[in-house]
Amino acid sequence: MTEDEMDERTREALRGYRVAPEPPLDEMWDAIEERHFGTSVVSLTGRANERGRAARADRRWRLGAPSWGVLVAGMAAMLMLGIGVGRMSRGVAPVVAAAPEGVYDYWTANAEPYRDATTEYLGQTVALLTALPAAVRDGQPDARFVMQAGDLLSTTRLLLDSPAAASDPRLKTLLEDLELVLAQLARLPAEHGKTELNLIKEALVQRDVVPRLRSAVVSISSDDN
Amino acid sequence: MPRAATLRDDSVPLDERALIARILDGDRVAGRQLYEAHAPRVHRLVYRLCGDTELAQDFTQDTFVRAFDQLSRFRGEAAFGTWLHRIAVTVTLNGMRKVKRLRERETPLDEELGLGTVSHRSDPDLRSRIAAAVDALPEGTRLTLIMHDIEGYTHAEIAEFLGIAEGTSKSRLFDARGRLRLALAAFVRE
Repeated sequence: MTEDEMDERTREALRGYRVAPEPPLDEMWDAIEERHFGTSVVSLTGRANERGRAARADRRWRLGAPSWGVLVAGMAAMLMLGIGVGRMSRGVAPVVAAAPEGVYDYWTANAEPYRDATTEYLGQTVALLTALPAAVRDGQPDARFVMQAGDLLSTTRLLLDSPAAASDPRLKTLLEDLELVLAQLARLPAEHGKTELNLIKEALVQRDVVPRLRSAVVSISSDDN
Repeated sequence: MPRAATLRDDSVPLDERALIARILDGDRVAGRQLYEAHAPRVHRLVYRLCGDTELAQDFTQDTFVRAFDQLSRFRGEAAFGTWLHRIAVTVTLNGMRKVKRLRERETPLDEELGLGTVSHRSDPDLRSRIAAAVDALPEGTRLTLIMHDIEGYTHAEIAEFLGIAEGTSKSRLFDARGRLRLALAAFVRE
């Protein structure tokens, strides 16, 4: 073997030296964000929202036809319109009653970040659940629908552990119901998920989840004014 | 050897000065953008240096936290990527010295090779021999070889990262290549 050949083989072997695995960028960013900027549920829901947008855009490109993702976007827009109406009509009672004087009121003391995050989260969740019937193609759940349910489930659990849920029993109950529903959706099998989906749909109707969600979004938005 | 044209992914156009100003105002979205532009390359370098998946993640996180914490001191005299990679090297080397059990925890090379872009023509025995030879190099020599011949940094950049003269970087590289040739020669004779 010549020296050049040896050098070439060495270079080739060096390229395989400690090849890094794919870095978990989201996981690392969570730690960095918390350490430098402080914890924020806003960023978490924002990231879920970004992923949702990317997934929807990707799906539009690949399928070239309206999908449940498009429906979600449309419904989210309608929801935002509803929020706007809610903001304009100040007669809607807020979810959280005003705290008695001298009593700590979470929404007054720490309103902005959690209120924005909760509103955004509820909006995404109602859009997702409303789009549930369209998320089934050929008897199987859409993979991106399941992924988004998983993202929202994470946010649900964060909100359940937050002061927002601790200080608002109605919100906490709603979040607990959503946690169950989203957990079921996130665990839907890639195949044979039709039966489970039907059960989830029935549970949604029986527990009146979507109307309660809409009410919560409008109420929190009204409370913001 | 593969060369790195710049210290960040140029496919992502960024106005880094504007991003830095926003981060200093507490804008975490800007922080995320800057992070995403640099994190893959920082992580890759850190992993090459430490050879441990968990440590590489920890050191990468420490790098960005320290960079963000010290961002007000960044004067823009060097490229942000250069400044960031200098922090990454410092954090990694200090971290490795603190972690005494590093060698025992190193991920077996063969497991990691399957995750990367290793040429199928490359002889597994040769790879193992070369990997062992690289690991056996003195620390400074090994770092110089990794940064120059694998990651594609210039001698000027390596000198800045490691706080050495460019000439020292060149001589270390010469030494490293010589040792690898010896290891390979022994392998060929076998």
